[in-house]
Amino acid sequence: MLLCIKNLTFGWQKEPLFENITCQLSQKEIIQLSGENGSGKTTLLHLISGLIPHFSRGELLTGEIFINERSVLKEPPKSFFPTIAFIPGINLDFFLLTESLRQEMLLTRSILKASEIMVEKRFNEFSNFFPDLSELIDMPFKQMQINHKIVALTFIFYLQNAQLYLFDEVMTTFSESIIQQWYSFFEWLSSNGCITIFVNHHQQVKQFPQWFLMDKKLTVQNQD
Amino acid sequence: MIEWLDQNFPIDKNYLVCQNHKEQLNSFLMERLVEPFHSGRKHNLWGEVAERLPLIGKKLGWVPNKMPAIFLTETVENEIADALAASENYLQSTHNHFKIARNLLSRFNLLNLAQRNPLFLSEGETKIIWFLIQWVKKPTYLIIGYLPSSLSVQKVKDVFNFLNTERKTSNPYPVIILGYHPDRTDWCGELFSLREWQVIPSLPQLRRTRI
Repeated sequence: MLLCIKNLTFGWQKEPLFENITCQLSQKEIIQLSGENGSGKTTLLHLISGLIPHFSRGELLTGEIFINERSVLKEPPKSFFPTIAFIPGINLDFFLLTESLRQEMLLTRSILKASEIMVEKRFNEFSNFFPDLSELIDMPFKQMQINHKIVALTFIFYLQNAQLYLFDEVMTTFSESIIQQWYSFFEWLSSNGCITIFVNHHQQVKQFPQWFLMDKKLTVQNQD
Repeated sequence: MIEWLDQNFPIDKNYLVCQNHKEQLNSFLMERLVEPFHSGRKHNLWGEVAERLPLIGKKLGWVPNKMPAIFLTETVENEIADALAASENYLQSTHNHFKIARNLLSRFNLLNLAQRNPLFLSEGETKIIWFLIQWVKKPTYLIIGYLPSSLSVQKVKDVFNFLNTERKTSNPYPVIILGYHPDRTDWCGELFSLREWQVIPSLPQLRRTRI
């Protein structure tokens, strides 16, 4: 698993939001993405996940993003299924295709032809970090609070065996103790070879390297 | 709802409300102000709830934690100017309203957004613009669910600086009701010791569901 961004420039209008971003991530890396409001954190995640340019477009887009040497910007999003997991902090319903987690699990099983044993194994692994998962299984999505939806959606991607996880500022929804569980979960994903990028506005997390978006540039800061 | 606000949040102070979780205040308001309309029940759409809505709209400003863009005009400054004009009973925003809108944006270093289509704002920018729209409505109560969500540390500071400055100059000044979570108080810690802020240990109960 390798994510490679080359000379990426993007602008919603002619003015670039960020320009000439070049960086690379290999498997097991965990990155916190920071920057001022409006610096382009969410947009960068949308580009990596292919939501831009396949679902919305800006006027300015040059450069390339490769996942395992395949262009995210050129190839259709379906060709990256189920590699990329994009978990937004808002409008989660857009990503939830059925009415409950149980239905999502059945759908995933049928699409990926996954065995019941595999589903159970993934469920138990995920529950180690989020014990509330079993309570969410039959709860309709429309009755769930946003933090439950985030857990549910993350589990769906985990079940699908995604390799690149993009969390767009989901942390502020959770209490500090739960946030620590999320960091443990990121480390678990890393130990399984996955890449994780999460948007973080507050309290820099010491153990993870940081990408900082400022003045249209991306700065990479490695932790001690 | 209005009685609930009047009873629990007297207008001589600002309030820090301790939440069980960071969405509590938000969900509470959502349940009372938005869901009745989603239910589609005649009683809610045409009855008492709908009749009282304009009243609560004037009295209450609400900045949710995260929000989808719900803007009606094509530029950010127009959006703020229109809200200001409406609060002053103008049918259309005037040059002066636009001037005030631009001035407010400059206080958050967001003047570059003045001509931007609000639909293309980031989540954090949307939240600040929505805060300003609520502010210019001059509500009696301004409820902010959980300020740091979607906002950078700098923008949280900007909001506090803005509120502090306005407190000295603005009349009327709304009652600010800020939700916080005991896990994380670094962003609002200094308010605990201020006389004009009162800590409410838990969200007061609302017995009746009418708004």
